[in-house]
Amino acid sequence: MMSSIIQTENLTKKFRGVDALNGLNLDVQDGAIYTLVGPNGAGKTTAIKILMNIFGPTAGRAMVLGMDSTRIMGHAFTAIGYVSENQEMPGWMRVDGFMAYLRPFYPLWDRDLENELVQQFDLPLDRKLKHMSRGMRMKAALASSLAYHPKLIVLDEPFSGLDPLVRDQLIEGMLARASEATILISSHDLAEVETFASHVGYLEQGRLRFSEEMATLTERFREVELTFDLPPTLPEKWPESWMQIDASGVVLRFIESRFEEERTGGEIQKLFGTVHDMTFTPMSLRSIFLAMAKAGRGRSA
Amino acid sequence: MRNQIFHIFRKDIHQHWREIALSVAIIVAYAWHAVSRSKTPADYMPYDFSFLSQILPWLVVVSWALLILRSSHAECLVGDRQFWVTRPYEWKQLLAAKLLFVAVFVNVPLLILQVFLLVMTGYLPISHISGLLGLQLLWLMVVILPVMTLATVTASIGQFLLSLLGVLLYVIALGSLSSVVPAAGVSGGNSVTTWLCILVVVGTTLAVVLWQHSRRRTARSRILLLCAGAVVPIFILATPYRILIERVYPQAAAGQQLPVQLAFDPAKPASNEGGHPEKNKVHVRIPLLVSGIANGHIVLMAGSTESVKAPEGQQWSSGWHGSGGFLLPNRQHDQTYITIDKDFFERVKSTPVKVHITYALAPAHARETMRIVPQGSQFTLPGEGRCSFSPIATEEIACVFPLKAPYMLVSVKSDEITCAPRQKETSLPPGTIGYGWIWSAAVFGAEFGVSPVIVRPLSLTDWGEIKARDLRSRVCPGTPLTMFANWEDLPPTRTEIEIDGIRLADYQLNDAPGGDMGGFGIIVP
Repeated sequence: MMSSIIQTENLTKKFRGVDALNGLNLDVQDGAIYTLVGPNGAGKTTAIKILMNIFGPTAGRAMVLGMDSTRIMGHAFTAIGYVSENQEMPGWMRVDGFMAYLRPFYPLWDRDLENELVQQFDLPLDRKLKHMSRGMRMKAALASSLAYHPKLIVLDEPFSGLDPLVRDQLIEGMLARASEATILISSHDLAEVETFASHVGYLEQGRLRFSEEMATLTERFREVELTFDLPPTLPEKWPESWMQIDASGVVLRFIESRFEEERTGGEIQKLFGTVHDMTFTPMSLRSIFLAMAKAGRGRSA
Repeated sequence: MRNQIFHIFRKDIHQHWREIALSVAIIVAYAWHAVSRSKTPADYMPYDFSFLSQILPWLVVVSWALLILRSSHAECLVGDRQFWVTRPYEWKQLLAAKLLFVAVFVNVPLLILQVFLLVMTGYLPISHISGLLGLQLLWLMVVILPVMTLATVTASIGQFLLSLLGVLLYVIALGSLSSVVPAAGVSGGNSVTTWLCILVVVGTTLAVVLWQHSRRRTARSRILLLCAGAVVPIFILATPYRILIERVYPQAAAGQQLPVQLAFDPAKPASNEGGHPEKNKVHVRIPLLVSGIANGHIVLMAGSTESVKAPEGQQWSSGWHGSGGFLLPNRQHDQTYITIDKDFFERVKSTPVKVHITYALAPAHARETMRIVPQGSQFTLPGEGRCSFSPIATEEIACVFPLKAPYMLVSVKSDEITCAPRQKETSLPPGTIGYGWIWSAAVFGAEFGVSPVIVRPLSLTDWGEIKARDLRSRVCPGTPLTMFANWEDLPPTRTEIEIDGIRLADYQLNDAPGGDMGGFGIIVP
């Protein structure tokens, strides 16, 4: 039976009275590569910073590796690798000095793995961190967060603003450790995330709209196109799971968010009777994310 | 890692070697300058206004403050983006590493410098260990702890400097509270408040340093500091000074011998000079007759309260306020200054009024009295003081003491002055006694500063009513000095005088701009 590596209960965070996180209930299972997606300001970074005890929650609680997040400090970080897009690194240190400095902090630091990561990421050991590009710094940060075999890897927007080559290197480096760790990653780079995520959670306005396995998610979202012989009579009330409904002449397009071929087909039949042509196209994670974001904006508007 | 302390400490040395080198260079420059200017105690000048002497102590303080700040900011406790926050740092070990850094690069150099300066002046450091440790404690409280506290709640040097500016403005504002609460200036009556304020400030700063290292709750830490800042003036304003002063200075019991007899001097004042302009206030000087102070005794007028009652029933009271003057043996005259509301004064100035004055008196007596006849060479004073005539300012005696100067009263008889008269110089009347003080600012057995060698002038500034400016009031080799030292506090008490039927207008002082002006002084550490 799988156990929860991260579990939150009604996690809430307010900044000067404004809700950044609003009753988040998250469950990340052991071994998962869990991707937290959502528009800007959705609360992804806030959630991660609470999990890492960088912020304290306003209400609710979070358990990380079986420990209350507010108690995560010191030794607890020997089992956690955390990399964030805007982390302030000790710029005066060279890469080799940075690794050498961190090494004694971790009982399980693996010199061979460190060398392997340095090679894999093409890190210039003799260069100061402040003289390196952002991508290089991210690689150095990731290498220094993987070299001790963490049980939990937490990456906050690690790919944003990086060129594809660096992104690939980071993903490869991370996936190579996926078998021995649980990974929580927040990202906008949905195309990349789709290739490796096992689970996905969609966060919007501080709330988790859905959280499920990647396969289930892509299975339940479909772009549906219906072609009629004559322009159809549109119903007064649409099914709740239909999004972005667009009727144009004899063609009706929408996104079904609870797709089951038999059930969805039956619902169409019930609403429109005979349909000349019906196509169900699988959606990419990016398309699903955009559809959800647009639907969210529509709701908030 | 079992011991992160030395690991972080080594990293800090590596990171801040430039600042360390700079501070060492400044300390060496300070030591070199001190030694080169003062090869013997006789070379010490009581007032050294040379540029380097003024600037070097500040450079030492700034370089150490910079070291503390930079080392603290290396693992910045403010913000949510620092890499180290999600690394296995143990906060107690991190704090210990920072304290070790401060100890090695601030406390130890300070100790070495002070031992070196003591040795160079001819003092044995081993005899002054408690004083040296007291100085370390003072540096900890005055410089290290405040800088560390501000460093833990700021993210950059800019933020730190802004906070420091805020603290300085706060201290200035706090100082101006004395005009709102004059009773706070009565020594003894304010000691509970003073210690409470010190406790609040030191306790809060310690708590913030610990809390920031353990929890990094910057907003709350800043609020805590602001609260402590707000509590201090509340304490000062809310203290029941009258009750405390009257408890510390009890009314003398019937038949109890007072340390001094005070009475109104009915003689008309010779001069009305000495006032200074103050908005809506008038200054009045009441002359006093003083008697009953035994030789070797002094009486500190710690404070006084005055009330004026006019025949029509109009009344005005000053409330307790600090006074600070000393009553000395062989001085028959003194005066009390009263600052009266102008409106009241204008109403009653020409009518005979009743003035009631209560004094808080703190007597003391010297356990040690000695007569010294200084010659051209050095002579010693209690407290390991070494004095000699300054080669630069002739007829001025400079004394050096290790770590602290003792309180000392010096007296000279005018008949015994050996200085050759200058041109147009008038001799002092025979039998006149001049007094001078060597003052002390010691806390925890030492006076705060970079140097442990305390330099004090020995000059006679008090010739009673005789303005000594053009008189032969100097001390030269061969002039006998009587030194009163090793003071013992005697029970404090309160005494009152009542003056009936005086016209305040007769005692009003003429306001002269630049008279007795207040202002700020900067103490060179």
